[in-house]
Amino acid sequence: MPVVIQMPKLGHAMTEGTVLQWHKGAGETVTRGDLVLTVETDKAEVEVEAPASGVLARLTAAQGEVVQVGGELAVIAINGESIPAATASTPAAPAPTVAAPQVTAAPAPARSSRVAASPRAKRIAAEAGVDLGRISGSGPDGMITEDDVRRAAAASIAGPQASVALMPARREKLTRIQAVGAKNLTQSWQQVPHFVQMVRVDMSRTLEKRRAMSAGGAKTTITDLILAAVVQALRENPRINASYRDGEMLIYDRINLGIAVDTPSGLVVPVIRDAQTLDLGAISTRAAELAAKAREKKLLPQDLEECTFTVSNLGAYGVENGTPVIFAPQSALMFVGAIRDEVIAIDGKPEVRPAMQIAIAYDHRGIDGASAARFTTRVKQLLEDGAQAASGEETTKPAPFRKHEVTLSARGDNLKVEVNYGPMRWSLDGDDVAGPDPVSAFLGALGGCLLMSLRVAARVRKVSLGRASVHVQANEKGHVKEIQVQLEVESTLDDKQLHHLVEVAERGCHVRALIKPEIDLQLTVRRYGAV
Amino acid sequence: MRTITYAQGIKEALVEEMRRDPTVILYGEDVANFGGIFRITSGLKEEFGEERVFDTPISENAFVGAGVGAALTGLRPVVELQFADFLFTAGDEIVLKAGMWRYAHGGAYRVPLVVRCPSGAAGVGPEHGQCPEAFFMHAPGLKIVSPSNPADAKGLLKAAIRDDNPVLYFEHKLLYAAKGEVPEDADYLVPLGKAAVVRPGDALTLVAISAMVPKALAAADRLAKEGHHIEVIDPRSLCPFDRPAIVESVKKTGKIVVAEESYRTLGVGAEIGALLMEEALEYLDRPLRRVAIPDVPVPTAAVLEKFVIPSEEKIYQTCRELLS
Repeated sequence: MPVVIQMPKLGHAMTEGTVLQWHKGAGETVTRGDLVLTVETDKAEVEVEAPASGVLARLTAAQGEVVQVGGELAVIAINGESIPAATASTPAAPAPTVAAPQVTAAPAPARSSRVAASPRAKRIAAEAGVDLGRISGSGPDGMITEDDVRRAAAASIAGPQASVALMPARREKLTRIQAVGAKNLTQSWQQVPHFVQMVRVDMSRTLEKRRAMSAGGAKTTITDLILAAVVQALRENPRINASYRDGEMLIYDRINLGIAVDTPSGLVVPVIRDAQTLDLGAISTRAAELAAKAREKKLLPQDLEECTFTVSNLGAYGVENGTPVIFAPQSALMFVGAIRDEVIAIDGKPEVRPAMQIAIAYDHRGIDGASAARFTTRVKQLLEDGAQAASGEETTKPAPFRKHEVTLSARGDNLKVEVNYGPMRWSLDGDDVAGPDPVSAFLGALGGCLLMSLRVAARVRKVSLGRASVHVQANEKGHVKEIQVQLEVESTLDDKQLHHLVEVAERGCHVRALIKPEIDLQLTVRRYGAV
Repeated sequence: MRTITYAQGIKEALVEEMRRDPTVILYGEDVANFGGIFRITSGLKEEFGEERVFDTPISENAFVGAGVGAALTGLRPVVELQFADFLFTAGDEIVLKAGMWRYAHGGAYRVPLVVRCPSGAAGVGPEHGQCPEAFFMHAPGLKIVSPSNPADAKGLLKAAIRDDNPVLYFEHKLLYAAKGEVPEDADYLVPLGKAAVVRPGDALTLVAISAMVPKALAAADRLAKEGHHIEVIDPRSLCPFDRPAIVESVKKTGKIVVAEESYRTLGVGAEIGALLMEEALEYLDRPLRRVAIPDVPVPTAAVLEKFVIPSEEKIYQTCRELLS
């Protein structure tokens, strides 16, 4: 049985799609999962794979053709059946019964006689998309000339007063996504009374927080921290996460956060759904996934739907400020500028701080200036506090970064101690919940130092060392009386050489030297794989 | 650079090439003792002797034929006709011999012949006042040049003498006194087949030949004052013809006027029109216009001659009409 590839339904609202590009030709063999074609919906470009293996016997829809959802795109012959050539495009779904209202131009006066135009005028009219039937000629015998065409082209662009227009070097049709975007933005611009609030944000704390997190291995970006602050501020100001419609505000408890992503084929705005349920790590992961999907053109229409608030970060492009346009029916959109050092007055003294502009556009129909200001300044405050104020905690000033110097602090009535080492932070915890206890941390330091010392010794002696690991153990309860260190090494050295190397390493280990002589430290060495 | 006349440019070319190459010889009616009907060759017999500069009987067919023979044997003869119109008298030797023999003999011989042809209406009537370039453009194997200024007159004649093919060198009688700067370089050559854009512009392409060039430039000056920047092109060589120069200009301007002193039917303008049909149709924004002699003989009466010979005013009006 031949298998029909149909136009997929890729979103709730999708009724039809455009065949953007065929990646396989008629007669080609395809394997299930092969990329066969790309279709374009109003929101995204989607790749369609072969649902079965066989021969692509018939391409029913031509490139550029619009096909109803469910309509036949191609037929795969599985067992070498012969498939008759397509007679016509056969949409399986019935054509919509209600025709879209048709915008008709004023009827053109019918011209019975042939159009007299110079060959040059004809060529330029074709390039400029000017209908020669609608213009009159000024040349010899009423012939339409190049100037007549240019004047008509200018009038169609800029109104009848325009003189001879600048002719474009080329005409570039917008992709379907861009065209839909253009239409929506026009509506937003014309129908939504915008106002924009701009604030400058001191980003020192947020940058510190990010440094600390990345030192801890997290891949959190500045944008992620900004998104988290926005989510927090939206939670506290629900009227901003809303749509105006016919005299009422539709306020959403779900925060679907749109993030503008630049891709080679244009800007797309994938959506982090239900961001109100996500912590910073989850927001970060989701944002990274969506950005990657956007760049790989893997976004599905549902990744782009139901956005309630959009963040557009153009800071990476060096743009400092802007007046954004809202994507209706959202009520607000936040523009994020570049972070750059600025002089800011702190306690009456000028200080250089990394600062950033944010500009938030609001729909004035449902949001007044004061409630907008509460949201705007809340975002600013969260970012200036490094977003820690969100949980009501006091922030600690980071310790200066200096080797062999750490700052520790404890608060509350638990046994948790926070260690600050330059930009890095971690916890020591008597309850073994948030982090290791102090003794285990010390055992870690000892093992780490021994391993490093061993490697340094090997390097100095120019001998090669493979894998090495160390297991360090102390008595579990009470004062530390004995420490067992089991070193496991992969090496071609003979036993004598290896033991010598370990002795050298032990002598060179600074942490080992800190241990009191009365503590019994046993160091055993074995080779990898040895029992 | 020094300024000399068109006639001096021709003479300098002859003298320099005869000094450079002993195989260059010069003859025709009255060229030696009288110094040529237009006094171009005076003094040449004295410098180069009677073997290289001599007079001939009044038979164009005979002495052009002798030139073809001399060329075949390895000399580089420059033959002077008193009037370009006499090319028809020598038609057999020009068209059927000079133009065809190299081809007809499979390239075994070369025909390095130059025929100097004083052309143009100058109150001398239908048999002495024509510009018959177009007749001979139709004849295969001939090269044809029509310089419009002293520098080209010199450079094209030197290039013609050095060319291994027969060249008809049309020198317009009314240009002899025209002055212009001319290089003194003994190897100053104007390549055959290369047009000159003598005035750049973008509103209209005005192709002018020989004595039409100064008229075209004057018309272009008037049009520039009205804001129309005309591109004036002097083809200089009609065969070979610099097709790309014309095509490129028309691609830019979309409009073309050809001014020539030939008869209109099957004139140079007709050939340019056909060229544009072939190579630039979709760039044309106006019909081609030709300013030429209506198909009547060049009259003797001054008032009638003035009436038929393309004037600066006629060129100007024709351009104006296309630019409106």
